[in-house]
Amino acid sequence: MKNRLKVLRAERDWSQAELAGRLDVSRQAVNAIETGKYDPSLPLAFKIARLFGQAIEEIFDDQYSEQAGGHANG
Amino acid sequence: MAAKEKTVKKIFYGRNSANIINGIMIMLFVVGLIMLVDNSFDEIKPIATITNPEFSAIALGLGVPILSFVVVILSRFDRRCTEDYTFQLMANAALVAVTTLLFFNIITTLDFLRDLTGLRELYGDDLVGITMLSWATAYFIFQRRGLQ
Repeated sequence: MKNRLKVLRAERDWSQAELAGRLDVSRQAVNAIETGKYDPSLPLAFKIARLFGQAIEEIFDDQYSEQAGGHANG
Repeated sequence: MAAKEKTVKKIFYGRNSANIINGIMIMLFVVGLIMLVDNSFDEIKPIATITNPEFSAIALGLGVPILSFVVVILSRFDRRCTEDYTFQLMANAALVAVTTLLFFNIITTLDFLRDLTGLRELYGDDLVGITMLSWATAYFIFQRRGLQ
């Protein structure tokens, strides 16, 4: 699943460790999410969304939402 | 939140949490490997005689579900105290370990597969060794390749 976590983090000039501290997870978890190696659980996704003040779907984007958008537009 | 849970959370959520788990997994890898290699060079052990088969059957039949229930209850503590990513890594790796164990058990139980592979019969220590080695190996593979 694609996500904008790295971009959002860079906008705030936070390190991975800093973001990890704010989310109460390890730096490795942040790194794994950013590199697409791991999709966070729903509670963690909500936590991320709240932290950045955005909706989950604005941060995380999967192929299904793209398909759904395509169908809606088509 | 209980003080003990807070202390455990500090360990598993802290900056060094991944290093601690990695250390434990490296230890499991080494110990599992040593157990398997060491057992392979041991003399063939005599098969234990079951003195009370009825008791053994009842103890295993009841003991396994009861122990499973206890482990399920205890795993709640694991889930609460371990960070989500680490827990997912360990849980997925554990599933791989169980499946690997089943495969090895099938191979060494079926005569034609045992003859084909040249593997010997498995003992209790082997089962533990295979589980530990497989769990640690799968953990590092998932960590490297991701949980997708």
